[in-house]
Amino acid sequence: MILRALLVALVAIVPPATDVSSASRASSPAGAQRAPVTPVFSRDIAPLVFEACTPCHRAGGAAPFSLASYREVRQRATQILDVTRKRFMPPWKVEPHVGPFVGQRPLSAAEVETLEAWVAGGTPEGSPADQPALAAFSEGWLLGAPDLVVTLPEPYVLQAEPTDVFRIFAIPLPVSKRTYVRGIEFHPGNARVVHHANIRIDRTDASRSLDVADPLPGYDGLMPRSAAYPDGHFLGWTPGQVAPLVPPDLAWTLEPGSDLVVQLHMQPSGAVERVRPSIGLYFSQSPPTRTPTILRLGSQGIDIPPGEEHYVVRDDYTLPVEAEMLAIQPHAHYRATEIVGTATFPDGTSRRVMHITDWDFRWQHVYRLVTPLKLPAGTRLSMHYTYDNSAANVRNPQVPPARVLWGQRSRDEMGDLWFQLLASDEKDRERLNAEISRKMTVEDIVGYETMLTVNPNDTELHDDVALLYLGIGRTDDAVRHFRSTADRRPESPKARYNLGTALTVAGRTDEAVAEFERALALDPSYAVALANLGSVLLQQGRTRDAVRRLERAVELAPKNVEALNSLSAAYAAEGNVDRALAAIDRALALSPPPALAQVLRQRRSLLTR
Amino acid sequence: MLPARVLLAVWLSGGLVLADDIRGVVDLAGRPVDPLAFGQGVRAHVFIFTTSDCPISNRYAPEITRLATVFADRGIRFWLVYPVPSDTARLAREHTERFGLTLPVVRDTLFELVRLTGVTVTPEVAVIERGGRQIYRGRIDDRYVDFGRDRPAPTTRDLQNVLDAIVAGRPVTPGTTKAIGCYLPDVLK
Repeated sequence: MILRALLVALVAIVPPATDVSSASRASSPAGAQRAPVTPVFSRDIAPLVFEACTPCHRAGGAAPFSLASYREVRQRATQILDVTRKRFMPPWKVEPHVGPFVGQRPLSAAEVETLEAWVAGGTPEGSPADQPALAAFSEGWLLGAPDLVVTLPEPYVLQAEPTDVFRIFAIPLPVSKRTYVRGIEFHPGNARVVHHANIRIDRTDASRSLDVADPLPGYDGLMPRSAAYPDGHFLGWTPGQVAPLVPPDLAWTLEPGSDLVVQLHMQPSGAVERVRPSIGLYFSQSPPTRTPTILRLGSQGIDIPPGEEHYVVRDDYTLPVEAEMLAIQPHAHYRATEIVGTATFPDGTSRRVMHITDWDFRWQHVYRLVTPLKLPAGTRLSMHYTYDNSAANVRNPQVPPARVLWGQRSRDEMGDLWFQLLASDEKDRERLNAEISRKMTVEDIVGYETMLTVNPNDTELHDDVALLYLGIGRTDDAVRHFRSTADRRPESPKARYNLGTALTVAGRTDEAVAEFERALALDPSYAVALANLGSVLLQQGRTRDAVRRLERAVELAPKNVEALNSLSAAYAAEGNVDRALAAIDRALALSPPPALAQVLRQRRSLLTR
Repeated sequence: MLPARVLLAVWLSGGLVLADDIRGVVDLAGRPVDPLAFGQGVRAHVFIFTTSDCPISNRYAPEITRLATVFADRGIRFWLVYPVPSDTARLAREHTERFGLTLPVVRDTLFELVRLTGVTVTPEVAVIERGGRQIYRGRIDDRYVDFGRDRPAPTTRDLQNVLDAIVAGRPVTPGTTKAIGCYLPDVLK
């Protein structure tokens, strides 16, 4: 553990802030302005290349070719100069004045000038004695030996074309008890083609079912809602980056039976490739004491006309409590051009927390602040994204340009700015979480309504958005969407059941009874429909009808504690105390959730008084 | 530098290429090849310059194979040219197998084809028609606009357009385009 801690410290400290590194490099004898002599490789170029390029451009590294010696660098000198001038390499999309972020390794303008002078001067080597030693690059796990390594069971075979391929894999995590995780390290398994990885945790079997349904490894499409960032932690991978482990008190909880959900963005190489990533997990022995909160700003109502060159998406949120910003992640697709994130403090001053002037969808990255940024209560976090949906945007996936709506597929468009925030205490965190969760749900609903304008007959979308409406108490909207599903799937008992349940929540009991009856006409042994119908009838005072339905429900599903609870209440309403008590005891023996157990015990004490 | 008897007269807008003695162009068995021989029925030679470690060049492998297949029976001779010394015959063979490149392969060991055509990056192509005139040099298509800036699909297929014209017997105005890719090593210049 001590070794691990040291490694963590190293990872966290080594990547320096831009200004610090530029200053130290510029003050070296290599400083182009101060040394009019032609720069030489050993003294001036090697320190810069070995730090900024070689970590990826080396034998076995993530990048295509090696830049680890004078010979290799000299051969590519023109190339290096061109790509560094254009800031294509090293890959760092954020403007230099924003940050500093962990792993920040852009070249300063002075360093590019040094490269220019070296190329103009004929790429001389200089005295080999001046050349710094190449750092020892670890071929294994940069964060140390993981506590658990999972590997894709069988490789995914990637075809030679086309440009960008996305594939989602659900990888089971074999832990037998609740486990606390300080971080993960992702190994792409084929660095030639794996461009980045979005990683989530799914505590349900939703991702696994989608993966299993596709005969090949993984599946195409979207991650289900249940695949989420765990406990406010970003997970993911971009080339050349390893997220440091978090301190043990910030670890996230991994429940047994969870899956790691990995969405790979791959760029076919021109040849058929096998892709088999591995992920190492690093555990903590003790439960965390602090949990971050993730805020997502953005719009899911994006609707850009064809040819529109300057479409703007804005959003903001004012913090109700003080918090620290730990990390930030922008997300958009091919039509976004400029991305700006700003923190405006209560005193009126503001600070750019994200700024990318040439957004490139291929460089998805989680930007972790070297020093967390304090945000007093009342700080406004805002985003301002610009999109170009004209033919002049060469990245536009639609030629000729077409109307584009919000959606998660890469040909759709998105605009999100995610913040990882850490509240000062649990009370603040709960308040922040509750507010943010509602804000994000409201925006998610906008997203579903957007998708439904394109696919009005997608009943899964209607069902999902209905559940979201229920979650924020907009029951009539939930009813409307469940009814849309029921109208489109008249033979589905489940659709009728969902509609009946939403009507019950909305207090429209007569309509609810009618829908449950329809569900039961389609499937007479539909136990939960019988149980809910019984409950509604009980509410209406139709006790005898209620008992009959609930008895049948319990007969079909003897372990349904909710039905047993309703049945006991119905018996009690009939005055049948013995049966009511028997039903209560049956339910309590099944270890119901605490809240329900309390209700049962209260009823029991009332009946036995 | 150049073999004494190679006479070059290449103008940017396309000119006459006289290359009566190319010595360093060899196949993967090391046998000399005359890539500018115009046998019967050959309308044009297409040289596609590649290097085994250039990602952009590699991503064009399926398109190169497609073009070579489309024009195979129409009098267009395709050559895949490896100009970089580190791409040995063994590496070049492994590379073509890995990327499914089945067209004839040569190594330009004295950089004669590089100088003759004026290519500077990979992938870059040159088309020389019967009579020795270079009528096109540049990109395969406009998929790549710059490093890190590319179209999901090309909107102009430059090489295919030139070859279509040749096959159809239409006059072609000699021209060049800027190819985006990996610079040929500076030692070649």
